[in-house]
Amino acid sequence: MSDNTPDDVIEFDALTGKYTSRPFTDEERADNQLREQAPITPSPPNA
Amino acid sequence: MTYPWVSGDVLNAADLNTLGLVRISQTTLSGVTNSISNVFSSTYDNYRIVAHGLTNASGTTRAVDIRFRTSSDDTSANYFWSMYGYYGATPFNSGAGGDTSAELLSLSGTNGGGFSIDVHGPNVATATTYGGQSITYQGNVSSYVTRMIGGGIGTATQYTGFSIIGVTDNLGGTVTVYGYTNP
Repeated sequence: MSDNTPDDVIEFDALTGKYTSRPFTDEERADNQLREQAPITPSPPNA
Repeated sequence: MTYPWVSGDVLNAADLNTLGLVRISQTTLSGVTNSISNVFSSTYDNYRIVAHGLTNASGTTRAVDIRFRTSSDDTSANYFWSMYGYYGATPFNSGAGGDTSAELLSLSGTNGGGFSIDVHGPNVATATTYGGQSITYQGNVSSYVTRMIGGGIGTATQYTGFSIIGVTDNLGGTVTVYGYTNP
C-alpha cells in the first residue's frame, strides 16, 4: 500500500456527478505537513 | 394521500415531498483530500452525512478532518471540535478551538468503520455545527475506537459543500449525503 498518489485532491460535484483530480497546491501540501505533526487520539496506553 | 401508504397507492409530487430524508449524493473517497461540492443549498436546512468502509492507504493511524467549502475549502481558524470516546474499556477525550479544520476521527488500514453526523444549517447564514459519532479501527491501540463527535465553524458563510481530509494517506470509503426535508 502506498502513502500517496499523484492525485492528492479528489473533487466531486454533486450537480454534475463528475469526479476531477489534481495535485496539492504548495499551500495545501504545507497544511498537510502541519497536520501530520498533530497528535493522534487516543494515544497508545503506554506511550 | 394520507400516510401510511399502502400497496397500490399512486404517489404524486406532494406525497414524495413529505418524505423526511432525501439522498443528495454518494461519493467514493480516493484522495487525501476529498471535496464534495454542491450538496448544501436552500432546499434543506439540515443534513446527514454517513460514511462507511473507511480506510487509509498506509495502515498508519492518522486523523480524518472535515472542512466546509464554497468554491474552495474554508481554511480560516474558526473551527471548533471536541470528541470523547472509548477503545475497549479505556476512555479518552480531545478537542480544540480556533482550529483550521475539525477533527472527526482517526483510523488505520483497511479494517473499515464509518461515521455519521448531522450538519445543522450549513447553507444558512449562521454558524455551521455538526454532531454525531464515529467507529473506526486504530492500529496504534489495536482496537476499534468509538467516538461521540461534535464541532463546527463559527462563521456566517453559506456553505455549499465540505471536504473530508486525510493526513498524507489516501482515504477509501463511501460518503452519502442526505437532506432533511423542511416542514
